[in-house]
Amino acid sequence: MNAMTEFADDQSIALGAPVGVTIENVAKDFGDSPALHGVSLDVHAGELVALLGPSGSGKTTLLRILAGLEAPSSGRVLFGGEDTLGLPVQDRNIGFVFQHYALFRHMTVFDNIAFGLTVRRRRDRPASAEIRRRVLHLLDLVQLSGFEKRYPAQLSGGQRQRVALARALAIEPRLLLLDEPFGALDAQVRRDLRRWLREIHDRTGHTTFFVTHDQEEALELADRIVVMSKGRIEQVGSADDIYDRPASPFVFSFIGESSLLPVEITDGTVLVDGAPSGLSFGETGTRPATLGFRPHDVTLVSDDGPAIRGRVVAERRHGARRRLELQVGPKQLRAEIDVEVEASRAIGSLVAFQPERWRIFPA
Amino acid sequence: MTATAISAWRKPSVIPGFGLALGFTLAYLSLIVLIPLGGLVLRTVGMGWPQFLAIALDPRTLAALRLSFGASAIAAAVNTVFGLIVAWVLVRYDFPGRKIVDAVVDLPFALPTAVAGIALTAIYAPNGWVGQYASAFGIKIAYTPVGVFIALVFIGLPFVVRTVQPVLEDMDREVEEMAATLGAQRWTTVRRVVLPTLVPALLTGFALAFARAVGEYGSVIFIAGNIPYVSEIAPLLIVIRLTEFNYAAATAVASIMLALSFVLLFAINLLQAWSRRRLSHG
Repeated sequence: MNAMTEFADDQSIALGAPVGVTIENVAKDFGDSPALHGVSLDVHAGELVALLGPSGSGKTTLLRILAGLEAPSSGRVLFGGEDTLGLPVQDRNIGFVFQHYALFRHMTVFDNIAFGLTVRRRRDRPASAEIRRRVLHLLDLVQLSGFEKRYPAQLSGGQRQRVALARALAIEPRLLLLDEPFGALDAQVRRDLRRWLREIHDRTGHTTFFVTHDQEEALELADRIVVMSKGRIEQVGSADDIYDRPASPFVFSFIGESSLLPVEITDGTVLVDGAPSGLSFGETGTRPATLGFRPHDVTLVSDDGPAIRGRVVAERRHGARRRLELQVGPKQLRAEIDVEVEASRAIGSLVAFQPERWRIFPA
Repeated sequence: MTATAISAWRKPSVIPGFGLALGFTLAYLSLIVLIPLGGLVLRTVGMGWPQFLAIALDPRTLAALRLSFGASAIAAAVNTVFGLIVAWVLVRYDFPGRKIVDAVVDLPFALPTAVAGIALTAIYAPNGWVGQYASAFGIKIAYTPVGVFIALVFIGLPFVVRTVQPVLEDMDREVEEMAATLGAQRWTTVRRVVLPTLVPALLTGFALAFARAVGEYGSVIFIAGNIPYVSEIAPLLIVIRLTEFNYAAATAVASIMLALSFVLLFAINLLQAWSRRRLSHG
């Protein structure tokens, strides 16, 4: 799967022209519990977008609304400017891929991929020779040539997911929707399939949404990342945007490793647990806030100056460095910092440090 | 049996008690199933071919067997279709009274068959609730093969419902959603995706309903009218022969039923194994 060099003639994978997608104030309630609170998003044609968030953040619900598998309680979804309200799932022409493949297990690989073509009304249905040509071509694209007579149970997880993708591509979708597509696969296969999906996207140009809770996957694959939490969009942006310029403490803590400490800002000074931390934030007046920093962005400082102080409660090897888990202040707030191996401290000892790079989020 | 003797019989397993469990199974099966049936076959063999053929080819015997197996097959087929629909409704829809309907399905299991037979006769007899309207159109239900068929449908229904229901409950809804996103209309999805995965369960339900119907006695004899050559079922013929002290004829008919049932159930089992293999290929 790594030798992804040749795609013979990808122009022949005919496409429904990729469409831009506009999501306007989409909300969804399941009974009493709201799953989405008025979400809005604009995605242009051909974009690869990751919906990233923890479970329960509403990302899968949003994907299912795009597919037409759920109806929004309010709001609109437009494909290329056309309102999809009342457009049944069958007529949306979207390619959907489920985490657990959802292959038709009584059908061969060939019949699985051909399904979307063979269920068309007679006048829209390609001739069987044409169906065969397309299926074999898709099998070639997903590198499963020669597997057409197998049954799903005879394939590995990665192979099944590639069949599922070929099946979704067979109907020439306007939009490709992937729900945790690599969630059920082991690490190595995930990485291969991820790179391979990126290549397929670059060649076929589908507007693609994929749902994931794996930030690494989202950062690596997507043009734009939509970070979601509790039914709301926290931030939309490139990998750099959300990593370097997180819009909220949630995004900061969800993307990458981080420590968050509640602080108070008094006349430009950041107070941690009432004591000056040596950090200043240009603002007058007094207000509470949240300080965020990455464990690898800190330096140890001498104990007599302003600093954040914590007691070491645990330490472990972390790559080339050593990670200390600290208890800060009497409220026993947790923070993690990385130090050089030789600078490591014993459990129970006091450590003074300052973040080199940090962010203040209003509380 | 020593450990080595057992290990020659089976693959190693961490589950203990193979010897004991198999021994018990064989002893139990022998006592309850094989010895009585063996006795039956032995008696039949004892009577010799000419006498056996004379009984077997007797028109009254043939008519009874044809009715028993024919009506059972049709009833099981009808039950397969309607049992599937009942199971579908119970699994896929939530409506007030669903639990009650679910419980009603089991009634044919629990009701004494004679009670069912009398009730059915009362309803379908020419002066009964339903029978009076049918007879107005010149259709006779009770005391004809149609009556036999209705009784067999009644007692066979729960078998299909109860075998299909759990499979339907376990069915992955994503597969149907997938078919919809690929453009399949609802009926196409049911026909090409749902039904094929239900085939093994439907076959099992058919086999159970059929087997039950072939052996059914109590509910049929009241509504059938038991007219020789017309509405007399094979199990009843056996009882009649017994009351005539004609044990040879009784055992002969019984043996034929046994052989036919075995062949049919075996064939259904093969079909089932084949369809199951197709589903869980590997």
